[in-house]
Amino acid sequence: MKAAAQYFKNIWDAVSTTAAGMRITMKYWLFEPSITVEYPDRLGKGIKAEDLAADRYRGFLGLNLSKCIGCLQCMRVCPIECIKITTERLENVRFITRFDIDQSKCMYCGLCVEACPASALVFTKRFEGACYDINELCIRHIKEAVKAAAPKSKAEGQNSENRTGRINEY
Amino acid sequence: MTEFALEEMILNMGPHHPSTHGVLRFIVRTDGEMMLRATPDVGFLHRGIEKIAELMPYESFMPYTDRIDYLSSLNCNLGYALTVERLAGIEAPEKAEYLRVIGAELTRIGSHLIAVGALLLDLGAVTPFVHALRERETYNSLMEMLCGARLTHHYVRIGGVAFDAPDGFIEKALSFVNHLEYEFLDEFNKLISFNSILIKRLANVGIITPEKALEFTLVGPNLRGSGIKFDLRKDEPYSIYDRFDFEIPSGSGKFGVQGDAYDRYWVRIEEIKQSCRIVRQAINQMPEHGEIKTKISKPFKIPAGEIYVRTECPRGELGFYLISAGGKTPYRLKIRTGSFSAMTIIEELSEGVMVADLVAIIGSLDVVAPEIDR
Ligand code: SF4
Ligand code: SF4
Repeated sequence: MKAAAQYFKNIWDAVSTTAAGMRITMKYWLFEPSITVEYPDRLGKGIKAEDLAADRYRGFLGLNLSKCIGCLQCMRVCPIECIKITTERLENVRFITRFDIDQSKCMYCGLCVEACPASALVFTKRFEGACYDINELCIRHIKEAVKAAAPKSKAEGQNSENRTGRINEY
Repeated sequence: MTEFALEEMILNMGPHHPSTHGVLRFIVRTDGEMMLRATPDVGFLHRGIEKIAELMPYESFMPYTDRIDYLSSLNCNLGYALTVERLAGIEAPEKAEYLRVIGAELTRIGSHLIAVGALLLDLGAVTPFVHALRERETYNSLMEMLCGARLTHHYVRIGGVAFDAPDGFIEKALSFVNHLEYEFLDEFNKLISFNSILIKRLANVGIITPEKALEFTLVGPNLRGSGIKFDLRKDEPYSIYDRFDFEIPSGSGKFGVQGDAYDRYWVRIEEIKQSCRIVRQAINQMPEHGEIKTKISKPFKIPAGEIYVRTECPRGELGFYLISAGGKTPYRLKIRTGSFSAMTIIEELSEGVMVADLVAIIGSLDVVAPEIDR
């Protein structure tokens, strides 16, 4: 008799506690608005996925070439050596001849951005890096040799046509 | 008539198995539904982090500590930063300590949400997992606001933190912990914790007596689930944890025997509440303005010496043993993590249980594969 009572009590417990849980599930299903957004198609008109990221979002690295002084600090501090810079000196003028950032290796830690004394290296909000060839993610910021910016205050009044002043992102 | 002798079957579970957390392999010897023994095979995620530490400057190793345990990266950051700071004799500014504690406790909440969610998912309850992930999403956005990354935060630096709290962060964090403590957890408990099917599956399963827990050097919530109130935040306060008022939840055999899987589950739910309390107090006490980072010398060198610093991670004690020979890089860095000791007890617990219970045991111990292997 006691065993039978326990048997039915177990069934009742399972049913009643599950019903309590189902009530919450139903509440969310029927009455609460959906909290997910469908990426990337239905984010809303004119909204890019990048716009949803926070201000400090650590996405792809962007380089403001007009500010870069070619000090190689960022290359040295990077733990996985995904920044490659070469500089050359020609008649006492420093040229940056290569500035590659391998975004497929980068772990977006931010050490290079912190190390940059000229604030030339910044994070952008871009994070969609899918491509067919992994080498496309090694971003070459410099096509031809660029004169390095002079350190600190001397930088004013030395703009060359190569330095556009915009952040070279892609 | 043929006689049915005990027939042993050796099964391979993992390394890619949905109910092992991460890349983890078990060699399972079964007889029908009964488990004779499950032997864990670790090492699939070994990345040689300890060796990497010897090759790079102290600051540059910080992002790697994110990857010791990706679910509690900020706590790992904090542990490493404290180790280096104590050996170098640096003190972080007051405000930085508060920001660290807020970040670390939020990360603990996020980690426990995943831990209980994944345990329930392994047991076949998909809905609560989604509920837990919904809350974790808020935590992820908070951390994205604070430091720019959603998973591997890399927020703590040697001598402080990287950024000050942005506008609106404090209010959002406060409303998040209030929502969690006063609304979400009650609802979550109603949804699943007090469900009698869940209780049947977790209570009296995988019992770890306090003696056995000590024998296997369990740490963190697994140890507290066995009823031993040991929490480094209270027993050996680091950072500024001595300024907060919180309790240490421990297992008391709520629905079964002390130290069963349900106790470990329940300890995590309770710890979320305590973390909410700490975050709230830290926000109230935090100075409005102030330095967030002590300047460190460049190149950063530490005088020769050695130190062991342990901190309380969501998965238990995380210890860094650092030897410096006076150079720019560590001479040796040994990392001790909680998941590894939790892993060792699985073999013992798996004897003579049902196959389905093994999943509950692994889930309730909350092992994270990269933390085992480093
Ligand atoms: S973000 Fe980190 S990994 Fe990426 S380039 Fe900078 S230092 Fe290197
Ligand atoms: S990006 Fe910054 S750190 Fe790197 S070379 Fe240019 S100025 Fe130096």
